[in-house]
Amino acid sequence: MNNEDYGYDYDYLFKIVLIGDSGVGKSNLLSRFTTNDFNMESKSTIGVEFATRTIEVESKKIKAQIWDTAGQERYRAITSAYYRGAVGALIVYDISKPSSYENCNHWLTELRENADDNVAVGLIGNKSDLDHLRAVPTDEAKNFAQENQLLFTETSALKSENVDLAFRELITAIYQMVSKHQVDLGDANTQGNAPKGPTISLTPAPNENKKKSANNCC
Amino acid sequence: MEDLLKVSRIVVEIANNLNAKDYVNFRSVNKLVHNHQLAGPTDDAYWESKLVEMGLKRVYDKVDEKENEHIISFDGENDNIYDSVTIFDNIRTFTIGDAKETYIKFHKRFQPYCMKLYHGNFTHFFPEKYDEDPLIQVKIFNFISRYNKSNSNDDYQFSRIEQNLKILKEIFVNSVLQEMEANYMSENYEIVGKFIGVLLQCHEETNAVEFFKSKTDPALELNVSNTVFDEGGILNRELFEKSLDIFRDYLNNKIEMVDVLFEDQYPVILQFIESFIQENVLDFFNELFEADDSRLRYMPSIYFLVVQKLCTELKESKNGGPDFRQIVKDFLNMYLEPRIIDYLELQPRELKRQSSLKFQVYQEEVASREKETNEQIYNSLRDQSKMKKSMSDDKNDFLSTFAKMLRIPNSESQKKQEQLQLAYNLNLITNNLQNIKSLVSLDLCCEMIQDAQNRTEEMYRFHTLENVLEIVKSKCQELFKTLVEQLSEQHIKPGFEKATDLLQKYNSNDMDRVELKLEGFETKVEPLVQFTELINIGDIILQMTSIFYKNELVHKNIINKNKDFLNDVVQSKKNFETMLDDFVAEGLNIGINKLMDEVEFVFNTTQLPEDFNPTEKSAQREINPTQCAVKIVELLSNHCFLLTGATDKGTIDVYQQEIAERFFNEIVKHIKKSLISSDGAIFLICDLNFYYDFVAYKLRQKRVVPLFVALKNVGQLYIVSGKDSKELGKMICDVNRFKGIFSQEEIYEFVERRSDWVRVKRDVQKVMYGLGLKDCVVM
Repeated sequence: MNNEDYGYDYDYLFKIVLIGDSGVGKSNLLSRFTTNDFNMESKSTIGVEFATRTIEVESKKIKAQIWDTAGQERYRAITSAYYRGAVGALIVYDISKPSSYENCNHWLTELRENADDNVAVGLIGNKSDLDHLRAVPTDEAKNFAQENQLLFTETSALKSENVDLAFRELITAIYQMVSKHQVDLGDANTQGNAPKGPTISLTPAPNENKKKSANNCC
Repeated sequence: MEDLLKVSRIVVEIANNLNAKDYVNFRSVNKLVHNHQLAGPTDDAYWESKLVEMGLKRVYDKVDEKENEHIISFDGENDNIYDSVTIFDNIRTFTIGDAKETYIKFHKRFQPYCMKLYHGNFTHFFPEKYDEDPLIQVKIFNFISRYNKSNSNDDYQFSRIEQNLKILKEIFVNSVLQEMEANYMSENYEIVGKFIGVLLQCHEETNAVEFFKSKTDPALELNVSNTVFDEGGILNRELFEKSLDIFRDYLNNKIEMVDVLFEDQYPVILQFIESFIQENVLDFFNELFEADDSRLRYMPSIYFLVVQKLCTELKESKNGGPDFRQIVKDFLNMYLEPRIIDYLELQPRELKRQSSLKFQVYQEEVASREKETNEQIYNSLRDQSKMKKSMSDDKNDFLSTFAKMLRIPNSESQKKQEQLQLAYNLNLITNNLQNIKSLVSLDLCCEMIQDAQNRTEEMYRFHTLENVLEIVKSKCQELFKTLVEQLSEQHIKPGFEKATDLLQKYNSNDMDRVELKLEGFETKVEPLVQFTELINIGDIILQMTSIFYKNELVHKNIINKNKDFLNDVVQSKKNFETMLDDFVAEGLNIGINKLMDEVEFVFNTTQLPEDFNPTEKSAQREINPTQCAVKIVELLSNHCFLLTGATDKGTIDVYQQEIAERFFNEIVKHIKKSLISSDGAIFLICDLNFYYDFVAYKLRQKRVVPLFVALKNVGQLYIVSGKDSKELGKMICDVNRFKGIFSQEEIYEFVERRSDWVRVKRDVQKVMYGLGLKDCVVM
């Protein structure tokens, strides 16, 4: 299932950002998803890193271009640049670290402020392998996700549990939104310059379908 | 006359000059003399003096004498128990008062012999019972001589007897020698041995030894081959062993003979063997080595064979005693020592001579190969340049062709010809660089080290010889020193000098400009790759010499690491290492310069303006490192790990860090030349990430990683939207963000490269200069 086989041969390119506190495992989630790697001694990310993987959703090849951001970035100008053009986001926390869960609210706010209104968001409780140290109950996080219309998955990048699922759910949600949107927008907009693999921007209809699309999503 | 005898002094004086017979008569001349003048102590004194002259001792108290048998012997009745053979052994002392009686006992046994001698009557000299026993005869001769000493106051008689005894002894010795000869001829060696015993008893040791020597003329008995070396100067071991076998068998034969003839009565064999070594063995050696010095190289084998054959394989010798073999070995060592020293001294000289020769041959080969290649290059280029016609057919002297061409006034042909020369020169450098590693021949150096090692092993075989041990050590040291000096001065130094010279001359960009290129030749060389091979070779050679030093010199205690640290051997080894290090450093420095030229070249030629300042459409491309970045990382990868395994980790670290640092500077320069839009920033970030990953995860040089972290942060200066220009200004002030690697001025310079700089400039400056200091502090 490696993306290399597909190369540029894709139907959609989605920009997805990984956000959350420093040390919750964003980089390992990404490497687990894209290259099936896990690095015990990974250092904290400086700036932003990129990785891609192409998956198939409803027989469309979708290339996910995932931006792995540094959890401790202080400049809003920089984080907002990261969110620019993102159609999906995963807010990650560490189930054994309550503060990282509490900060999800902040991340969500920042995301909503800077990203497109229709951005699809998933909440990820990572490090589920540390169940014996669990500090954030699954139900609590699930409730929070529901309230905020977020996808929710608990994952373990270490044990490779639910990682694929989490990304897939998000990508599928984005795809569904986009394909619906295209229909909504009509052919005129996309036909003329519809090469393979346009970056999807959801901006054309800013606040208009907010509720509606969010409902579709979750 | 009568009155004279009244004077005691005169009487005594006379008496003292008379022999026994005359004395007895004289004493009877009258009563006065008999009873007074020559009576009592005076008479005793006369006899005592005779006994003393015969070697007897006067004792005062007979009881003190432990040899009680003597007391019995003074019993006149038992007088007959003495005979002329045993009396001197049995009677060794006398007491006051019995001197005369004692003397009579000796007189009775020996005076008849003396009288025979006095009258020159030699026939039937001994009683019949002694006729067949020369040993007893010799004993009697000796005793006669001893007895005759008592006659010394009668000089005439004494001398005559002595003289005749000497004549008789000579006759006797001659007949003994005759008997020996006859018995020797009939190989009755035991009988010969008996006669030798007789001679030794006779104090005729010289005659005895001479007789033995006359029977042992090595020249007659030894037929040794003196062609143990073949025409090529190679030792024929088999033949040599055979020669030694002949020597050994000869000596063993003599050892046996001496044991039979002399037993341990008189030392003969050691002197014999010594003179044999001195004369025969040394002669044999002189003949062997005189012809050719280089034969000395076999000295260890020869020496140990000689010791084996002419010492270890010798028989035990009763005559030589228990230390016989050790003494023979000492002789061998003593007499062969000068040759051994010759050999030891020759080794460093030989190594120097041979290595010089080999290096010279190698240089000549390289030179002729180079000339050949140069001709090929030239000819091939000339063909390409289609100037065939204007060229002479003189292919051999291509340089003179050049010269001829230079004289052609036609500017067109001159231009062409200049181009040809340029192409020739550049292609030449390229080609030479490709052959850089042939400048130092590993094979040749290995051969040389091996040679030195073998020589050391051989020389060291002599360390058991106490006398030469110090010479062995000093010559082994000298040999190692010679090796190191030869390797460095004759080969490695010129090789590396040429290599660095070539590296310096090489410019990859020149090659790209030349139109004429050789077919089949790789035009793109990676100078460092080539040079690294040379470093690798140098390192292997260094390692080999170090192993040599450790295994041969230190382990064998030829050099004491702690004591001899100021030794010139250690010094020359250090010099060698330093020289190589210096060449490596210089070469790497040149190489890094070239590499950075290359990096700059790639930046300038392959980084497209659109890479970081894309159009709306090209901004939609995937986020991957640019082609330029990929190429550069590939270039660096090719060079950074060249030294791995070739040299020590310290050098590699320095080398890699130097590359990384200078690469960092190239990136900084490059960014400052680029124009970056906030859409393009992500591609710059991606490139910078790519460089960071290379340094942090491939190079793993922790020391330089912060430089690349700072670069990542620089990348973020461009992703910030122009709308956030105020925050951009804050970021410039946030020097901490760049970990002190960039100054605020420098960060400002970076920000100037934003494609929207003109628009954001004012806001940025406002933040930078318009705000108080406290606003510029970290948020």
